[in-house]
Amino acid sequence: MRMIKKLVKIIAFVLAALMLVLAIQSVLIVKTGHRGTDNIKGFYEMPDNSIDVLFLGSSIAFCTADPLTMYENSGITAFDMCSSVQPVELSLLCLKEAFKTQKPRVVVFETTIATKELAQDSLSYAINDIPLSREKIDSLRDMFSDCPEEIPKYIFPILQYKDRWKEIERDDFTGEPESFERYAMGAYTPNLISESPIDFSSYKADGESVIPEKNIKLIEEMKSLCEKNGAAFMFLKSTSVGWTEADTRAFEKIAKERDIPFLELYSKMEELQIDTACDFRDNSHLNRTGSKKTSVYLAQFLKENYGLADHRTDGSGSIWEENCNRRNRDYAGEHIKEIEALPEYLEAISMPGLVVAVQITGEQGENAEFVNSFSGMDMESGGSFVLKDGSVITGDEPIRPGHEYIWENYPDTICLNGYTISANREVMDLVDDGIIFVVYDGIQNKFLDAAGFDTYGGGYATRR
Amino acid sequence: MQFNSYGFMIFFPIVVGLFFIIPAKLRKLWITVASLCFVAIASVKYMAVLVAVILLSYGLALFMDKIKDAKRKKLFLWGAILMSMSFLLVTKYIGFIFDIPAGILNFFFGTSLKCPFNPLIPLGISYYSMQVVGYIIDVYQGRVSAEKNLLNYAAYISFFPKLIIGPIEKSDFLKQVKVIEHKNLWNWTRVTQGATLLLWGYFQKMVLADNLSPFVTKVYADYASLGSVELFIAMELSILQLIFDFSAGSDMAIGMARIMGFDLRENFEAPFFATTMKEFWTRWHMSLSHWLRDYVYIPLGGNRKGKVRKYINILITFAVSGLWHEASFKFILWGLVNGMYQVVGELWGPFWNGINAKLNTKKESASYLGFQHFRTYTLYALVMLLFFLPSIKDTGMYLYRMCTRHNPWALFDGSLFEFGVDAKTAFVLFVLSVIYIWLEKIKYHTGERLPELLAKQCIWFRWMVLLGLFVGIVVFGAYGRSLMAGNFVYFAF
Repeated sequence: MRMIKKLVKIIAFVLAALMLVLAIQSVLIVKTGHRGTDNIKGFYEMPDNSIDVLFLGSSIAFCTADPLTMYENSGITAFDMCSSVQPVELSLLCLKEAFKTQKPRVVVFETTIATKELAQDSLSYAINDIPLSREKIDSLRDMFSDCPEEIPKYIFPILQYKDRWKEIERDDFTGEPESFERYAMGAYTPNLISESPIDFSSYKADGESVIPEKNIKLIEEMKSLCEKNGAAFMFLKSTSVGWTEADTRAFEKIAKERDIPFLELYSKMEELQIDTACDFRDNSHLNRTGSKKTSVYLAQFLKENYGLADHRTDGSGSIWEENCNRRNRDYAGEHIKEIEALPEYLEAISMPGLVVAVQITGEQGENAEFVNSFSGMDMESGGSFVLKDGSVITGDEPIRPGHEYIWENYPDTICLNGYTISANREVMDLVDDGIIFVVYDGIQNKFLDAAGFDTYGGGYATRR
Repeated sequence: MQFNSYGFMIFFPIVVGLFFIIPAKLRKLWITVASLCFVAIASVKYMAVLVAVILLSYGLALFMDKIKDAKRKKLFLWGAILMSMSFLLVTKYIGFIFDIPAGILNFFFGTSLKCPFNPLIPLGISYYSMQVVGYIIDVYQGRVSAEKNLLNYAAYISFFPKLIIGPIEKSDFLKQVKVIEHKNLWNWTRVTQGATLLLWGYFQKMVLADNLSPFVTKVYADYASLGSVELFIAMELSILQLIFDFSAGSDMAIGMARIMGFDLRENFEAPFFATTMKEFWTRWHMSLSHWLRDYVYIPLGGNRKGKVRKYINILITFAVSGLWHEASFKFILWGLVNGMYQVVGELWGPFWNGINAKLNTKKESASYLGFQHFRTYTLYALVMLLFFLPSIKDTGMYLYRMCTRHNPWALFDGSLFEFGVDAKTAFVLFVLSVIYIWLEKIKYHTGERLPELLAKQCIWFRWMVLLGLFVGIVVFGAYGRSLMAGNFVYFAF
């Protein structure tokens, strides 16, 4: 009996230690944003057997294939199970994980990284969020056969991120900020444009590259795994500087010998109207407009070649539908930040779900009447109010100096005192004479914008 | 294999688990096998040396025990000591022995002689050689009879928790080894206390010592370009780091042994609170100090042959201590300076006491005690420059710069945090160091270590502390590829 009591004590202590470490790990682990971790997390949130097309590969893949655009255009349910610099070993592990819950009809492997040998340093971008399993341990043993002492830190990521205790901030405790990738099915398509046109002159090359033997074996393993699970397997090569014709030849050979379809996009740049000046965000990655072009093409290609169903009509793509709407809302939020003219701004912030704190400050000059009209209150002597879904929620009178109003959506707060607006205790002192707006998205729980418009001068005010 | 390596964290639970599962009569064999494996993991050659030393000293002690004639026995004793130490002499001291005449010849005749042997110091040889010599002398003096059972003797010498950083056990440890097959070793209190001590040791090593190490290492490596402030702080912190490091190693060794049912000697007892250098050496590396007292100082005559001889004996004993650490003139000097501290302390003591009596100094006051602690600590820090810096010349240069390159602004401009220990880490280290010193103070006054203190508390508090230590190691510990697990400082000997 005493022995059992002691055994229970030991087990309880070990469990307590483990729970404590996991709790601390969730705080310390880096919140990556767009480096690929979120793609993997997003995958595990998908309903079983909902994905028809699975993309594997590096960041080039998740910047080329945008599943939401594909869905909007062709009704295909695709997912990018990709991560930055994803080594082939990790692609194979992702595929094994995918087949546990999904039955994709097509698996598309983006080949860029397959010309290189394993880069261990980039593994943490994705592998941390793959749950512990025999496959994961086998894969780690394979990847770290030369330094097995590194394996524990990929099983317990706290060992990698422990030094982050020096830099932890609010987001580390309140959870990860919502990022596009969590609902963009793994895609990352920022609205950025490369500083100069992309130069693809280095693509021309003679001969044939040598692909690492191990990568070829891993690709063969992926293909046979797909065959076993009834999925088609194909290669995709997107456009990126660094890849050459010699690499293409090598992969054409590998593809031909193994009967793997190979779609390379270099030869289709004209057909897709890819503009090297505005469709890339850097040498390797397409941007939002570039990705849209390739995604529309890919969706059509996959639908035609593999007979994929249009899930827009059968209702089984509801998550893609919902996420398309979320993304459109995010794009609208992004647009708010770019608006320069006050009337257009006022129209944009009337979008449902937005909470807008408004401060009228200083002299309004010729625009006094305009200010009064949009608030519906007498704002001549200044003051502040809060709009929600386009309507004032702080009463009939503005908040005047000497009074305070606090709007809270824990842990975010907006404080108005008649003189200033503070967002999370940061004073938004943006203009001396005019209107200050602090825009909060009450649906996505995040601050969208803070803008000041100088209304003192003649004509409509513009953003300062 | 370091105690703080992943390998050891797998090795130790397996060894302990099997130790309790296997039949009691196999325990000694298991300890010996495990200890030899522990050494063999580093190198099979090291294990071969250990086996050779065990077999040789075992046979020599048995043979000596049978000699009846006192003169012959004494002569044999010297032979046995020399033979038992032959491996140590060949591996650790051959280069030094060769370098002395070679240096003279090179200096006078312009030759370029170099030691043809590449010194290869087997793991733990300094520790187990001392233990073997102590055992042979004990057998000679009749304190113990020569052990007939080879397995008992092998387990006694090779017991791995004490093999690489001590303590240097005396022959009475053999008694513990001899009874393990008749003893119910599974004792929950001992196991939990041992595990607590082990965890505390890991905490001291990985959180305190290894986080402090980059500052000391960087300043010592770059001392020629730094000013007084950095050099003084590094000198003081190097002792703090050494204390954390050594205390960690000792606690881990004692903790491991306690889990397995053995009691190792204390090696380290709150040296922070020593008021004189004499007292310091009764609290610092105690097993080495006791060994030197029993087998060097007292046989030399100790304090029985007049004051001058006593002082000479002290100097010789400390010089041997220096040589034990490393075969070099630098360490001989290190030993001699430590010896000089003792001698000067004895000579200066009455004079100093006289001044204090005339000034009516309150010797029990906290301020005076604090001054004494700081004085002792700093004196030791000064001599330890010889320990940490590469040469006597470097030590001289370091002292010169520390006294002449004044840069008090370094205390205020934040540059001190550019030596591998940033402000946040420094703050955590400061808080934890205060807690450590507070625990040491309790130990100094009551003799109670962390496990004994925790045993008096309720389970919630106990668990909170233990979980705190565990989490502290995981989060604040220095390990991983970027922060290589630091070797124990005393592992080098």
